[in-house]
Amino acid sequence: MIGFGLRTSRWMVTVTYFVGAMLIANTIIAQGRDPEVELGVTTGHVQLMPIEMENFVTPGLPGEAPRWLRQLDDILHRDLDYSDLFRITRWYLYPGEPAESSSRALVRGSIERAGESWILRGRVEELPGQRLIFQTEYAFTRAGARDLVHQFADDVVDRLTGQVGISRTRVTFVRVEGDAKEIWLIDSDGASAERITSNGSINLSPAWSPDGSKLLYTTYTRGSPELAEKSLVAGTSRWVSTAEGLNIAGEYSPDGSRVALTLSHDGDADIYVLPQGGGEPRRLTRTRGIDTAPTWSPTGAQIGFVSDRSGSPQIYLMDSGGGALRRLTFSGSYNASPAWSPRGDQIAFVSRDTYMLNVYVIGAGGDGLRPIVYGRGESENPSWAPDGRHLVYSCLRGGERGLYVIDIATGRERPLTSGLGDCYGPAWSPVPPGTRR
Amino acid sequence: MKLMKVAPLVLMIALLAVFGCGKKEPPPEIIEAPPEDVVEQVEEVVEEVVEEASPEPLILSDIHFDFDKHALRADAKAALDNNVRQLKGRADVRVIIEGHCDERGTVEYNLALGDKRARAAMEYMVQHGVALTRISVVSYGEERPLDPRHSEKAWSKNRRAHFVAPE
Repeated sequence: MIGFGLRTSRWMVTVTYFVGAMLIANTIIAQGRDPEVELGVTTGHVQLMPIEMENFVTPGLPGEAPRWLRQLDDILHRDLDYSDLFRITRWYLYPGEPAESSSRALVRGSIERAGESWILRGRVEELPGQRLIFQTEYAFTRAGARDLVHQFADDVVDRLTGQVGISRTRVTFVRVEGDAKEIWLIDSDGASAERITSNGSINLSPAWSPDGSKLLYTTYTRGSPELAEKSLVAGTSRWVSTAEGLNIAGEYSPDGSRVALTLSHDGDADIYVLPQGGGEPRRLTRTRGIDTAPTWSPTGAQIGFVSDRSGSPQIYLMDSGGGALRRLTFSGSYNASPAWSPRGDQIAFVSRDTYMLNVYVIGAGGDGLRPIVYGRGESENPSWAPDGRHLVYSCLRGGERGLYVIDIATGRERPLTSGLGDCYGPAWSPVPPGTRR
Repeated sequence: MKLMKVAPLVLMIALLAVFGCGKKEPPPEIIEAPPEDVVEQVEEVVEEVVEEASPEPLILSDIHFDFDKHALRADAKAALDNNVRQLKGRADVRVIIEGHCDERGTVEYNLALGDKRARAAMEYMVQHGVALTRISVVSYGEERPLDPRHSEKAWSKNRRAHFVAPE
């Protein structure tokens, strides 16, 4: 049963899904979620599960459903499409239309009024035969409708594929507004763009706290680059690091107890770790030259960073106490902006060829180097989605820097910040509470 | 000279503050600012002093760097010598050195590179006699290009250290 010609190991298994006695998807690859183990690079021949979608029915509503309700079909369709796990053979089907022979599952649901709120009953049925795979029921208000549909989409992803759904995640980034550079947020499907800072200064490098409630960012509001933290819940800010020189590239440790950052008050840029509860920053790098852009491994045991100690910027790894240093990249003369995958197995980074920066991934052991975004315009600052499959990055196209999302398994790419002008420095949020993982 | 001119005014402010407090009851909060007319007088005096001591305006030149480098080129050193000479004649002036990069490269690496460029200029100026306490550095990385175009000509202009002497 596990064969199908696919390599199997402790960490990479071919998972079969049964519904009753029926096999509905026999070639979806589920990768182990143990962090920091070798998973092998996902390549080529990714099989997408063919599914179909029916429009939500709205029993009990007189006449045609209101516009906002009908738009929920679009949101669900986009979520399932953007997961890059499914091939949506047909969508916007009217209830009762016959299924296509290749489709393996049907996603449908009903929305009904319940006093002041609403109820969504979602169903996923096996095809052919329409035997129930799972059903779920959610109460929601109109204001929470979008999030609710995202939750249904993530449940579909979880139940049909075992993967982490990312429909409810968001991306923070820098948007250029005249001379100012402000921090913004956008939903991972490109909806609900929202300004977070409005101080008219330069604000850079936003990074998420592991619980998604706070952002770290560098701000020039007092004339030099200092590190601040903003609570997205309370809206309040506090200073995290205000040393002379650089206070940049802040990244929370995976448990949120520490912040890795770059300071330069000792003469040039070095990596430090600052305890969140207060205390002195601990210096991790001591070479003459630039050390910056720290990225934590998902367990917090290691830190990747950029250093020019060899004469050109290259990616290095060390343990989070500063020991066990090793160089990760050897080809190319400009490798920077490392981002450790939430699965632990890979590190995304940018590398310069003759013409521009491109996005690559490399195994944490130095194997499996491969381009992900190549020759599409100066591409920078890759950041992983919590599913470990999607990357968001900035790319200069047609004179404008925008954000794009790519699935490293299929290579499928989509724009994220259309119509927002110059945007860069993206960071993908963790999954919010309530998402199955 | 400067002290002697200002000293009576300081005494006046102190006296005003003391009497001001004594008249009111209960005693108000500490008076942080002197009455406006006194401030105006002090400012006038200060302006006079500055005018006497500043015969010529400072013209501090930018210096330029090669791609991904922070080493000072010969033309940069010549420009720095000129900046140093002017700053030595103006011991009252503090200078902020801004480090800048072209748009190629990553945001975080360029912030570190801009910092290196500004510090390279600072070290040179300190070695040539400008007091360290008069200089501060700030890196803008690639965030404040002089020329926003995407060309080699723009990039070479943008890889610079810029000197700001606030009055």
